[in-house]
Amino acid sequence: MRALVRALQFFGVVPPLPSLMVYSFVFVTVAAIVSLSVDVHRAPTAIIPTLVLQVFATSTGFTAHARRGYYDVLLTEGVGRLRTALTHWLMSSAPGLVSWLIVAATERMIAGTTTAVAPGSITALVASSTIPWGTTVALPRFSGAIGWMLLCVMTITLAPRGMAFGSNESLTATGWPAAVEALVFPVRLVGGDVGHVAVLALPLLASAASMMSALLWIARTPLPLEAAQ
Amino acid sequence: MSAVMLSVRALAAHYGRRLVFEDVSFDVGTGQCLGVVGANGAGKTTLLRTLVGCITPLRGEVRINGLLPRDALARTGVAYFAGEATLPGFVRAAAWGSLGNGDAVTDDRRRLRALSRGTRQLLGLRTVLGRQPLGLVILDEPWDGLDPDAAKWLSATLESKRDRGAGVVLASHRLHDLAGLCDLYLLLFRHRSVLVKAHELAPAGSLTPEVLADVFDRLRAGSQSRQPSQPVGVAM
Repeated sequence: MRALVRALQFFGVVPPLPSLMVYSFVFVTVAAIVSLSVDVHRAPTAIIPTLVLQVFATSTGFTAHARRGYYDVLLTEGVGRLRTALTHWLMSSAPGLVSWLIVAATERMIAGTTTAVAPGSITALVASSTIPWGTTVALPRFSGAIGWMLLCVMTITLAPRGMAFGSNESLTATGWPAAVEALVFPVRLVGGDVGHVAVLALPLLASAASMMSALLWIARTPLPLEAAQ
Repeated sequence: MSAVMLSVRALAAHYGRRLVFEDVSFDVGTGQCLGVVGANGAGKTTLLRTLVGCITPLRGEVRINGLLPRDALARTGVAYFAGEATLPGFVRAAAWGSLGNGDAVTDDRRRLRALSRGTRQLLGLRTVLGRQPLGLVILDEPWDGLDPDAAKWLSATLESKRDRGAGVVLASHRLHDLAGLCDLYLLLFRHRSVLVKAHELAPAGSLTPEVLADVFDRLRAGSQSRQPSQPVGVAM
């Protein structure tokens, strides 16, 4: 517990996110609240900017900073790499989670219900908070988010005819194209009808796999100083 | 001899296919200071990062207070600093200074990137050396960029930590600073190491930088004339 508090204190001083990203969350949260105040039926779409920003926010690139020696103070105090990495992820995701909660609470106050805690919405939040962090762990900042955006564009433009990615009916299907769409376009899960709970399984499995592989990578990878190699 | 704080046996490290060093062995006792000397690229920084567990060695073993680094770091206070380049420039100086033992090292509110190189170096050193208690101090080029007053403060602080029982490991090119502090010297060159005990070089106790430089030059020259298969990792 003491080590976790120490890690939280450290990442409070050395935040994994640039200040500009935090200001951006404030901006999209205020915009979502204004949008909901004007038209509460826009709830599902009002939260999507938070989700997209979360993909960029969690693409922090843990190893790149660790190899510059930024985390030496923590790593040589016995906090442990896994605890350090999990706290890094938590602090990377926290502004997006807080933004999400504020928008959900606002919708609840105005409409008496909220789409932000529907299974599809939670799945989208989990996927956008974990997969970019896990895939960027050994890469420069924003690599995971940029890769994800590229995948979205490629899927829309290059998918075989008949797969109908992005159509209104696609997520209500039960086959693997619906699951793939849920993985590639998690924003489409927010507040929408999900035809079968199995559609949520693929993004959740991908989230778990990316976190596990990232944590294993961090536990085993050498952290030489960039300048010393 | 004092209790062994840091024990290194047959250590080897590599980056990909490139061997950095091999067969490095030494002990640092409580109240002892080891100076690590070698040319640029000899593996001083890599050795120090291997000691604190940031790099897993290819072969060999590191023990701090009898434990592997990952277990020892939480139990033995370790101060490790690899130079001002490892400080994140976007953090404010006062906030970074509080990461040592929680006390304010400085009230400067500027970001670290706005400080001079020497000021950053001093702040980084004061932060890690402020930890209590300290069993092991491992510093990489600690005098780099410091002004004469700060360099004097650092030497006095390291001497004080050593005299209070901490093991100290310093990698530096500055033989005149090392000469006043170290009981042992590890010379890294050509992927190998030579361990030299200060009292054997200067039995009267006044080891000068000139004597050290001369010894290292002779060791280097001796190694270059040897066949690569001959061991050179011996204590004099």
